[in-house]
Amino acid sequence: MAIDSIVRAVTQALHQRLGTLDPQLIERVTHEVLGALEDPAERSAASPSAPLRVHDDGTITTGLGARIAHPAGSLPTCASCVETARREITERAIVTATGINKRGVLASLTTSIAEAGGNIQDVSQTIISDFFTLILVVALDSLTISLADLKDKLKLAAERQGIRVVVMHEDVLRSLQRV
Amino acid sequence: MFWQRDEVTEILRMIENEHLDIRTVTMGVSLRGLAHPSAEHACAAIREHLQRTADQLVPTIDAIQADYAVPITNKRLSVTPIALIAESAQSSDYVPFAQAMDRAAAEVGVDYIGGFSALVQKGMTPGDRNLIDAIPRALSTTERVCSSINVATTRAGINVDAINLMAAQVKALAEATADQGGIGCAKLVIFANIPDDNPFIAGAMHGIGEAATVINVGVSGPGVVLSTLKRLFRHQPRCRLDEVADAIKRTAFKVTRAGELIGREVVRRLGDRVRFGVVDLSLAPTPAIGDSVAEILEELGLQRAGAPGSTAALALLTDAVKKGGMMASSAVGGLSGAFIPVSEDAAMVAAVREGALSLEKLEAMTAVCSVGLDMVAVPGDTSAATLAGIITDEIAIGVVNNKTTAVRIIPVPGKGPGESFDYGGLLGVAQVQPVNSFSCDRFVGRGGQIPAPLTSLRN
Repeated sequence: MAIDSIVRAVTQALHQRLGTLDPQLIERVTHEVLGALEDPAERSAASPSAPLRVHDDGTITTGLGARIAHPAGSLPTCASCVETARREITERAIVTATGINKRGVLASLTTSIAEAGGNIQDVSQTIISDFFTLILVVALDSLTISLADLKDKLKLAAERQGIRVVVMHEDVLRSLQRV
Repeated sequence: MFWQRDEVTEILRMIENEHLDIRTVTMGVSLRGLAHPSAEHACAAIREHLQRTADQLVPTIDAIQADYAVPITNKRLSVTPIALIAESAQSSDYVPFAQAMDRAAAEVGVDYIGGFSALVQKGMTPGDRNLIDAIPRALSTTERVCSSINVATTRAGINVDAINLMAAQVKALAEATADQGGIGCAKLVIFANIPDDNPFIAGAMHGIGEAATVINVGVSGPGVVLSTLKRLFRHQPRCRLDEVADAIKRTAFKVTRAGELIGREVVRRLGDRVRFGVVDLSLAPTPAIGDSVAEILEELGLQRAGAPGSTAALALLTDAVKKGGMMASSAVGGLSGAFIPVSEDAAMVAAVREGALSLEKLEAMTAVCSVGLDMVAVPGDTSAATLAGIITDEIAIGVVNNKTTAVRIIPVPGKGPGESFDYGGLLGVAQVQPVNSFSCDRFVGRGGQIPAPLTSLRN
C-alpha cells in the first residue's frame, strides 16, 4: 500500500473517532509516524503540503485527498459558546465523593448511576490513609430521570455509606477551567 | 480522564470552602406602558405584570442551582424608575406604588425589589418630587422595596437641591424605622452616575434604555480571592504586588465565568422573552468570616483596613477584578468593582471599632472602588445639613472621576459614636462612626446645581 493511501486511511479513521481535531494536523502526524518507518525516498514523495479544499456540501479534501466532514465541532472557547456547543457535545455531570473508605462505596454510587440510566465515562479514585476521593464523569444523554433526581438518589446512597457527594453539571467546569 | 483531578477539586473547594456563590440573579422588568391616570389602576397593572413576568424566576433559579451545584444566594427584581410611571397618575401619593411592588415581590418569592427611583440629576419633575416625598412612608411600610435616587451625573453636574431633600428624607426614614435601628435607610441609595443594569440591591433599577425583561447577574467571591492570596503567600511569602494582581485576575476570571454561565442558563430556561443583560463583577462581602473585602486588604499586608496603603491596596484589587472579569464575560456592566459596605463586612466593622478606619479614609477608598459610602452608620443626631455635606462630597468623587458613587448612610436613632446596632442577616452590625463636627450648613444651604466638570465635555 502506498504511503499516501495509508495516510489517507489513517486520517479518515482518526477523524471519525476524534472528529474535533484539525484534519491537517492528523494528516501531518500520521505522515510523520509512518515516514519514520518507511524509507526516505518514498516519504518525500508524499508530502501533505497541498492546501485544504472546502466543498459546497460542507466536506473538505485534505492535502492527500482524504474527503472528510468539516471539523466544525471544536471545543467551546467562551462561556457564551457553551450554549451552542452543548447541543453538539454529550451532556455530562461530574460526581465527586469524599469520605472514609470502606467496602462497597464505589459500588453503591455506580449502581445508583446505572439504575438511573447514566453512563459512566470515566472514573478516578485516590485513597490516602483510608480517606478517599472519587471522581466520576457521567454521560447524561441516556439518563431516565432528571439530573436533580439523580442528585437526590446519589445523596441518599452517600448518606447510607456515610460519605459526601457533590454532583455538578460539566458546564461548570467547562466554563471555569477553559478559556 | 476528561478533567484533571485538580481542576475538579479546585472548583469544589471554591464552592464548598471559599463561599463562591452567585450573589444575585436579578430580573429587570420594564414597566413602561403601565402608566395610567388612575393610580389604583396603574398599581394593579404593575402587580399583575410583575407576577406574570417573574412567576418562573425563582423555580428556574432553584432548578439551576441544583444542577450546577453553584449556590445562588439572592433572587431579585428591578423595575423602571417608578417616578416615570407614577407621574401619569392624578394622585400625588406614591406609597401605593411601593406597596404594589412589595406584594408582587412577595408573590413571586424574591427578597427585594429595586426601582422605587427617580432620576433628578438636573432637576425635578412633579413626579420626581412626589416620589422623594413618599420615600419615608414607602420604605417603612414595605419589606422588600428599595429606592435609589440619582442626584448627579458627570454630564449634568450635581443637583444640590435634591441632595438637601434626600438628606432630610434619610433622617425621616431613620426616625420612621427607629425601633429597628433606622434599618429603612439600608434600602435607600443616593447615586451619582447610576447604572441602568445594576443587579445589586439596594441600588438596582431597570434603566429606560433596557429591553422589556432582562436577567443581570451579580457575582461575588471575596472568599475565593482571599483563599487564593493565602495560598499564594504560603508558597511565596515575599510575592510582589504585580504577581498578586495577576493571581487576583486569574481568580476573578473564574468567578465571573460562573456568573456568566448561570445567567445564560437562566435566560435559556426562561425562554425567548427574556434577554441576558450583564454580569456585574463586584466583590460583595457578607458578614461571614472569610467572605470579606477588608480581610483581603489585611492579607495583602495591612494591619487593618483603613491603615495607610488601604486606598492603593483597594485600587489594585478592584482593577485586577475588572481585568480578570472582563476577559471572562462578553457583557460586563452594573457597578463592577469591589464593595466596601461597612456593616456587611465583619473585618470592616472591626476596623471601625478599633479606630483604624475613619469616615474620611473610607471616602478616599471609594474613589478607587465601586459604589461609595455604603452601609455607613453615623450618630442619630447628625444634622440633615451634615448628611447633605457628606453625600455631596461622595457624589463629587463620582462626578469628577466619571464613575458611579453612592451613599447608603444610616443615622442610627439614639446611638452615638462607638455604639452599635445589630441588624442581623446580610446587613450585619452597624458600628456608629464619629462625624466631623464642623458645620457645612451655609455651603449646602445655598442649594442649586454644581456645574458639570470639564471631563463632561467629551464630544
